[in-house]
Amino acid sequence: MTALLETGDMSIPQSSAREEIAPQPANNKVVVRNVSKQYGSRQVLNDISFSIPEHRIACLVGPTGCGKTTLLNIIGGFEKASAGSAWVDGAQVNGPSPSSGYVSQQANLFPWLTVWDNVRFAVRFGRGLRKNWSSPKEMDARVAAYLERVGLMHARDQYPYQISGGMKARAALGRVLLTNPSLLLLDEPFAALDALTRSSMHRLLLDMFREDHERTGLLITHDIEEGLLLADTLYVMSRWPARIIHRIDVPFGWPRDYDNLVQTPQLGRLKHEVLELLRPILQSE
Amino acid sequence: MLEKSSSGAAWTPFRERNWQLFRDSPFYPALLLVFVVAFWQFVLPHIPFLPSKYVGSPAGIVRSFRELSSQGYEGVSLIEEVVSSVRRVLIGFCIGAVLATPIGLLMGYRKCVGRLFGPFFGFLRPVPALAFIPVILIWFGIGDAGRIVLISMTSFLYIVLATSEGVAAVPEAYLRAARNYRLSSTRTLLSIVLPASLPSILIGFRTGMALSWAVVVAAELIAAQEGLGYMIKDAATFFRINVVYVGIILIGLIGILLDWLFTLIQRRTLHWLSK
Repeated sequence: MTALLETGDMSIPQSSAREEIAPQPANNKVVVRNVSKQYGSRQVLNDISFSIPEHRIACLVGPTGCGKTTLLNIIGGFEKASAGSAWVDGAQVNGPSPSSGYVSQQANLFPWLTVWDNVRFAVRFGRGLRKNWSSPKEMDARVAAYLERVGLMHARDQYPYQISGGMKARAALGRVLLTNPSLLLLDEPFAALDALTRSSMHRLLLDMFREDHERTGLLITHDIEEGLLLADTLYVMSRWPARIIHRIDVPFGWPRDYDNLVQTPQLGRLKHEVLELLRPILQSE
Repeated sequence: MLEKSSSGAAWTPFRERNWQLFRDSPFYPALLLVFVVAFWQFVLPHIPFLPSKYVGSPAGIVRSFRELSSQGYEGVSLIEEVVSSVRRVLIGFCIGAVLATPIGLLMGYRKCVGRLFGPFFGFLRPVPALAFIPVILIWFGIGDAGRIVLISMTSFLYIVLATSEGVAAVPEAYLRAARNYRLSSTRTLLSIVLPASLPSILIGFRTGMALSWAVVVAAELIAAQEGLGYMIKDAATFFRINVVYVGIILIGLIGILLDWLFTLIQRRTLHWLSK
């Protein structure tokens, strides 16, 4: 049933949402089965089903306010579905879990803590995360390693108000990655950043995925290029009550090199094609 | 007269810039003080229908202050009068704050506690502390205990509600992080809720302290043998009007000092706020 758009040498394999009903293969990290969500009389999500295989990154795109964040919240265990269910690692989601790392648009660093203490917070106090370290010294060594990795060691003693938006995003990412989550939930994590900083964050994430390719993720974004750069699959959502109306398999393999990818003409062409797919939805707003 | 700015991009009127500098300096608000003192000293005594024994004068206040500093009031030194009032305020305020902070935290953190106590404290808060004085006199007598209870109650009611409102306003994203990392309730309360609601708690402290100071003076006016409130009441009875003004000025100055101390604590503790 997969259709290929005619795009020359690089085309987008896409399928309609109806093919995604009731996914349940054993190697899926995330399974969303017939999820609906209603707030009062308003139905936000309508019978959504899709899956994310192990070690793959999926991306949700769609009009503003269509319910992408609600869906991510249901997968993360922060909200309950009105109907249907979400499964992570074969277990039905009943609440938040440290195995899911959540990063949002507002970095949500604690303003009263330094960068160092913010990054260390979860592993210091989180139930089930503390036991990963045999000693505080080992924990601090890991914190230092992650701060180095996100390029913030020089700002370790600074407070969130003293650092830039990009540095905050790096710190938030470092805090989450340090907990070693097997599932990354990224809710427009770079939306508040300027284009240059956002590209540096894309580069950082791709570098991290290259070093650690066992990460599964769900990314919400309005930036099609971001979705194409970082994800394996794009799910296009309709206006509310939202459904998944297109699934697009991104034809870039792993590992991905940011500098090479952004220079390829295929990226621009793919972006254009995805925008063409989105146009009828956006025009209907 | 115009002067070129350092950037050379625009011309700034010289006088306007000087005026701005003056307006931002401490001399600007002092102007009003100088005016009031001068008016009081040189104009008020010449208004025919104002008897000088009711009006007093800045020079007389200075004289009275010197006398009080050297001889005290009714056998009690001025420092002792001040210390007596400040001691009551600090003891009462500390008791109120120590009780109010955990209760307020719980009220904001656990909805069932908030819904239980919120309306009760909300009902008591607008009742003027002075209205409780007769009841407190009956319960605790005319000793210090009653005055301290009155101060504790006043600061308690403001701090408890400010704290619970601060906790209720903790951003959902912080609590979500706590749930994500499976922090225990106690850890969430201590490491996230408490620091996040600290701005509101400190505002409650500051208001509570200001009101405690107002209440101690009022309580001393009614039933006390020492303290600034007692000194004012006693001096007024014998028309020692300049002594009354010394008491009023000292109360104002100490109030400003306490408020300044709290502002300093707020700035130090909440350096991360509004930046």
